[in-house]
This record gives sequence, structure tokens and C-alpha cells, in this order.
Amino acid sequence: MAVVAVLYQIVTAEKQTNNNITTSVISKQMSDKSITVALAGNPNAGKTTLFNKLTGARQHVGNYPGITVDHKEGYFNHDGREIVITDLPGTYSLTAYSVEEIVSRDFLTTQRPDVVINIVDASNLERNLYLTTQFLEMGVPLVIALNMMDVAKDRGIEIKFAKLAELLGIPVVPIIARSGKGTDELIRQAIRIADSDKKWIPRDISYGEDLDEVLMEIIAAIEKASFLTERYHARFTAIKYLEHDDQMLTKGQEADQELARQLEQTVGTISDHLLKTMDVYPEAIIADHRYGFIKSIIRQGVMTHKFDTDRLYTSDKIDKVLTNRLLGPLVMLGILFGLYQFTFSWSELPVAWMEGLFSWLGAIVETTLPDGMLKSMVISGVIDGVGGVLGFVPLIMFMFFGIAILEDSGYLARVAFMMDRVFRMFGLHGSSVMPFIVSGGIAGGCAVPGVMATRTLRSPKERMATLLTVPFMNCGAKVPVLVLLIGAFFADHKALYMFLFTMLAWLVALFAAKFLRMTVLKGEATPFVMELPPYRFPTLRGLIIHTWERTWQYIKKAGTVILGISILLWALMTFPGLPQSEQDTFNAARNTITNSYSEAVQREVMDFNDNTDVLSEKALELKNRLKEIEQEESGLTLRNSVAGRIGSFFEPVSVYAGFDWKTNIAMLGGFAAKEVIISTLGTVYSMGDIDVDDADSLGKRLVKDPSWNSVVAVSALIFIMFYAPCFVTVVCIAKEASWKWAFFSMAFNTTFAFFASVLVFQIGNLLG
Amino acid sequence: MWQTIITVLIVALALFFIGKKLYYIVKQAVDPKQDISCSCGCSGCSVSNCNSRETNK
Amino acid sequence: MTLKELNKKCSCFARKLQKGSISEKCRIHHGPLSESCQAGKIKICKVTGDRKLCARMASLGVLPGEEAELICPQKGSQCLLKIHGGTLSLDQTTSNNIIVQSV
Repeated sequence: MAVVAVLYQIVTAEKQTNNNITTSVISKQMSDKSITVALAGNPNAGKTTLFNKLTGARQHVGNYPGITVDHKEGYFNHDGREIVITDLPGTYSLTAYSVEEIVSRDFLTTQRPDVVINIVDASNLERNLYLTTQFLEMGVPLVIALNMMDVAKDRGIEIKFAKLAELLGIPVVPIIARSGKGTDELIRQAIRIADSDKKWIPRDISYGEDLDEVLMEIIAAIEKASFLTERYHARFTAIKYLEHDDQMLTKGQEADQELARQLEQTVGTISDHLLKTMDVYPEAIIADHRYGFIKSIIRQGVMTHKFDTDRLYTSDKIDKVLTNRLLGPLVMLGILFGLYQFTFSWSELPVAWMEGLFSWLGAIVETTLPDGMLKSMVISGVIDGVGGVLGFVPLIMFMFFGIAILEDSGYLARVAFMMDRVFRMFGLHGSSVMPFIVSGGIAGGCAVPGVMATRTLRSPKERMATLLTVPFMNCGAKVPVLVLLIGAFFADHKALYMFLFTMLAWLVALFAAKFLRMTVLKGEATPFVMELPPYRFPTLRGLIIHTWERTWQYIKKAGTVILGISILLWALMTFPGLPQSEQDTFNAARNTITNSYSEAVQREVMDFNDNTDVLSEKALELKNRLKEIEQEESGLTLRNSVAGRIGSFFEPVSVYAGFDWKTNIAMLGGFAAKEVIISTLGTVYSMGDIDVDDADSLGKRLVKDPSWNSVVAVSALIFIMFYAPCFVTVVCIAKEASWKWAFFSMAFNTTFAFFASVLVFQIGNLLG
Repeated sequence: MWQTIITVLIVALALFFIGKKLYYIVKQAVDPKQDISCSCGCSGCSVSNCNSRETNK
Repeated sequence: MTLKELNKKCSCFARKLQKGSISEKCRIHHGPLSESCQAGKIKICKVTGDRKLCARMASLGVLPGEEAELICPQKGSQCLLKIHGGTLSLDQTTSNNIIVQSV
């Protein structure tokens, strides 16, 4: 179908050059074929769930509001019709109070979709219909999808959807987006409405005598001057003027300054009058009348409650405990620690299996491939490099599973609520919590969507402070690095250390935010209001899908980008190799040692077979001495390579933080993607130590290396957690803010991380 | 010798692949209409932003 | 029944305000929501403060005359308010600006 659309586009483009009349005919045919549908509704009403169900996409769905910031497009076919569907961000109203509202409203007015599907949460009808009334006022062709009928039923709420449809005068289709029930009928109705080719007809809702009078006056003025009428209906513009909608006021001024001034004056007079007589602004009266309108509909037998309406639902009862001022934070920390405990204890065995698998693979390659460059690349670059990253797949999977439970149940929204108080102290906003969690606040996120999620913040300074500090969180790429070092040096208390390092990440991010807010980003705090989603029992299917899709992305990245970088780094660590003179020196040394033994011993070593033979004492001695020379040679080759030279270049400085040149290579590689730290360490330690008898895991190799100890490990952990964000994040920051801020973030983070590491290393060394 | 040739080929391939990836990231950074998160490839964002495009187009 | 007729039936606080019924009811025991120290039913008397905030609260249904349920009173801090079937989390600045009265 997409091919057909493309063909049409090509045909249209071609015809356009030839004949304008033909073009319009073809575009008419196009519009007959494809339909544009917008999905709109309150946050957390299930828009993205329905979007996924309809398009077969796997957009991320979470049980917390504000996950969709931008609108997203999908395509599907229904009875041969191509449907272009757009998932709009969730909003409560169509006034420009938030970024989401502006995005949604602009989409509707500029793109003018053929039909809007308004998803209404049946278990929270009154609040959801508020947005519906605004769609009606706007006059968009509307179909209501009454979602979560099952939840409503469980709560004893019965909705007579036919009656609702009759009273509102638009189709209402009950659906369960999670299971897909009713979606067929919904799409049929949507197509029917889209085909009906009706104009946008706004509904009039009365706002009381005072306002209605002014409205009529404004509408008359707007219609007379055709003020903004090409996009908005006169009544809509008038209402927005009364609501003091910033965006509309600006647009008005751009269109016709004189009329805009007049309108503002008229609105100003009525506002003052209302403020004097009733102590309210017009927008409050408008909202009140809309809610009044909704109540009048609901009271006509649309909704009946089986149970007492006053009773608290289980969700509220849980909230009483989980968001309690004292108990709440304790439970939150307990859950976090529990998550790590669960992850580490359950994944221990599978991680060991994965390690075994990769050393087995290494051994196979070792025996099958003859010595040479390819063998070195496959073993050191691919198996020891990428294998190190892939080895953590089981652990990542368990961690994602735990996070999926927290996310799907709705607990994360409570975390945002509880953290708001703390965040405020550090100059951040309640809406900053979600970007932090998305970036890996609990573990296993990513700073890129975290940076994007800061779009929900309206205050530019709060947004910038959040945007610059989210990369401090432990993203999914840093987690395996952390786990590797914690597992190697603090094996007895893995969960505890993971917990402590997570807390440290939060503390550093918060203090950094405070520092930024006190210096370069000074400004007022803005209020934070959020609707909490009810707790939902996660479905096993949902959990498995969430876990799998994230784990798959991890595997995919390791198998593509990390593999590519790993191979390139292997090349940088191999070339240009040792100069001929030095190679000759090593060969001479080898010959001297070999010749100092009898021929029988030399033959014994030459014919030595790993699996069957046992060496004599002399032969073993010769073999070990040769091995020493070989290790020295490979160490020197590595040091002489491009990467080795770069690593050595930084060594005089990095040594203060306890990092030798080998670690430097890994840290530099980590700028491409943090997983590269593991793959590079894997390659470095594999190339410096090519003896296959000693098929140790990377962790064990690090412990054996004299330049590593627990103090170096802590210092390295701190550096890795806080230094420059990865390349893609930097580009993303540049895109969302500016290149200036992107470079600032790199410089600020790296400087801070380095000094913190030096401090830890020096103090650690002093204390012994 | 054959090992060296294959190795050089693989390294060249890796260079091409990473170079292409880099090109797209920079292109997305320059073009305001592009969605950067699709090139990140990490477990968080590609799930939330890119799959629909991948599966639908 | 037309929409206009429907709309006429609704009971709006503006009308009630004009009759002065709310101000009488709210006169006793009222104060900012942030200072309510007991969970339970409350009635909203007034929303003060910044115009944007008032508008935002109004669109969420936090309007004078509405009844709501305070779920998590955290004296002097943020709180959870159940209104129109949804649970709102309000920060301190916002809850300071909502004047309520216990029912």
C-alpha cells in the first residue's frame, strides 16, 4: 500500500509540472484512498496502546503521564483503505498551558485530520470529557473511543454509551485498547465520519450571560475582519481570547495588530469586571461551565455507579501508604534495593553460562584458525570485546523486567510525586523526575530519550538544568560497566554497591543542578501539577514485551554499533605494530633462550599438544620463559599502537586518578558509547594476555592486573558515571539546546568526573 | 596472507558502517526535522521513538 | 434535547456565586490546602495566585464549590487530591493557593 502511495506521489509530482487540473483530480483520488486520523485524549487514557494495537508498532507505553511528547505517525490498512494515524501527546485541555497542549492543538489546526479519535478513559469519564467538550467547541470531526471499559466495570461504573452518543451527537464506541476489543468498529466509525466530508462545525456551549454577551461581540468583530479565520473558527478564537491564551494572543497580534488590541481591551474589561464582582478570571468560569455541561450529560443516566461513589478505590488506599511522608521514601528505597538484589541474585547463574559460552567460542577459534591477524581480531576484537558486552544480557534482562513491573504498575508516577519535594530543594521541577528516570535513574535507561523528555518542562532554565544533569544517571550502557567493576572488586555486596552508586548518581546530579541553578541558570521555580494514574496490575504479556524489546535493543546495539567500534578499536590497538628492529630483538631473545635448552626439550615444546601431553620440568620452564617474552612483546606492540600511544599520552595526567594507559583507551572509546568501555577493556586485556590456557573472564583479568585494585575501581566507577555523555547524547543536547551547551556538558562533566576520581583515588591511597 | 586480506576487508567494512552511522547522526543533528533518537540504538529510546517508523515504513 | 438546553440545566458555581451561597458556606474553617492536616472530604472555596495557575487548575476541575478528597495530607508540603475521579498531585506552591474547607 505504501508503494501505491509513493507511486501516487510520483505521479502527482510529475503531473504537477504538466497540468494543474490533472493534479487536483489525482489528489482527490489520493484523499479518497487514504484517511488521516489523529488520536487525542487525556494523558494515560491509552492513546499509545491503541496506536500500537492499530499499527502493529511497538511504541513504548508506560503507566505514567507524559510519555508522548511529540506526535508520532503510523500507517495501517483497513478494508483496503490506507489510514495514516497520528498519536498526539496527552492533554487535559486545548489551551496553551503546556508543550503537549500546543503540539496537539497546532497539529489539529494546521494538519486538519479527516477525523479525530478522542480516547476517553471510561473509569474517569468526567475529567476526560472536559477535553471532548473542547473538541466539540473546535468543531473537529470526532469519534469517541470509550477505553478501559473493563476497568470501569471493575470499579462498578456502568456507562450507557448509546445514550452518551445521543446526547453528544457523535459516535461513541466502547473499546478495550489493551486487548483490541472494539477497535474494528471504532475504525469503521472513524472512516464513516471521515468520508462524510462534513465541514468543521463548532458546538456552542453557554458560558453564562456575562461571557456570552462579550463572546458575541468578539465573534462579530472577528468575522467582520476575517481575523485568523483561515485556521480557527471565530468562536474558538473568541474563547481563546477570553481564556487569555498566550499563543493565540501572539498570533492575533501578528495577524492584525489594531484588532488584536481592541479585542484584548474588550476581554480586559470583562476580566476586570469578573475579578471585581466574583474574584475569578474568565477562564475559571469557562471551565466551570464546561464541567457543568459534562455533569448535565452524565446525570441523564449516562453513568451509574454500582458501589457507593464516596468509597476510596484500592488505588487510593495503596497511595495512602506508598506516598506517606515518612513511609513512602523508605518503601521507595527498599524497592530500589530489592530490584538490584533481585537482578544480581537471579542473573548470577545465566551470566556465568554466558561467560562460559564465550570462552568456549574463543577456545574453538583458537584451535581451528591458524595464528595470524584474523585470529587476533576474532578473539581479541570480537569475542573478548563484544562478548564482554553480550555476557551481561541476562542481567540486563532481569533488570528490565523489574523496571517494567514498576513502570506498568504506575509506581513510577508516585516516585515522581515523592521526589518533587527533593527536586524543588535543588532547583529542579517535579517534571524533571521523569527525564531522570527515563535516563536511567533506576538503571537501564538512556540519556537520549531523557534529554528529549525534558521538553515537558516549560521553564527554559529548569529545562536546561534537567537536560544537563540527566546524563549523570546510570543508563543501560553504563550498567554493564558498573556491574563488571562491582562484580570484580566487590563481589560480596554487589546489590549494595549498585544501590550506593545509584544514590551517588542522584546526589551528584542534584547537586550539579543546584550549582547550575545558582550560577548560570538562575531563575524562579514553577508549579508542578500532575495527574497520577491509578495502579494497574501489570499483565505478564506486557511485562514480557517490555523486557524483550529493551533487551533486544541491547543485543542489537552490541551486535552492530559496538561490534563495528570494537573492530575499529582492535585495528587501532594492532597497528602500526612493533618496528622491525624491536621485533628482531624479541626474536633474538627467543632464539637465545630456546638454544640454551637441549634439542629434546625444544622438540617437546614444539610438539606440545594442549589436551594430551604433560611437559617435563625443563620443557615447562622453557615454555614459561617463551610465554613471558611473548607477553612482553604483545604488551609493547599494544603500547606502540595508535590507541596505545593515545592512551599513554594521557597517562601522566590520568595517573592521578589511578588510570593507566590501558584504562585510558577504554575511557576514550566510551565516548562513542559507554558499552565500548567493556569491549575495549576486553580487547586490551585479551591482546596483552594471549594465553588461552588462562581463559579468564574480563573481571578476573582486571583483578589479576597489578594496576587495578578496589580503590582504582571506585575511582574508575566514578569517572565512568560522570564523565562526558556519549556522542549521541551530546548531539541530542546540541539539538535540543545548542552546541554551546553540548560542549559545556562535555567539558563540565569530564572536569568534574576527573577531579572527583582524583579525590577518591588519592584519599583511598592515603587510607590504604 | 589471506588472513591479512580478510582482516583489512572486515576493518574497512566496520569503518564504512560506523562512518555511515556517524553521517546520519550528524545529518540528524543539523536537520531540525529529523528525530535524533532513532540513531542512538540504545535500549531506551529506539523503543520509544523509532520502532513505529521501522515497522511501518 | 439540544446542547444549549442541556447546558442550561447545569449547576455552575458562577451562578451560585452570584447568589452568594458559596461564600456563606466557605466562611467557616477555611485555609490553604497545604495546611489541611486531615485526610478526607474537602470543599474548594477559592483558587488564588498566578492567572496561569488558576486557569490550569480550573481546566483540571479544581474550581470553587467543587468537592474533593484529600488523600495524602503532608502539612506544609505537596499533597494528593482526588477530584472528578482522578488523582492530582499538587506541589506546595499550588496547594498554598487553594483555599479549602473541610466538609
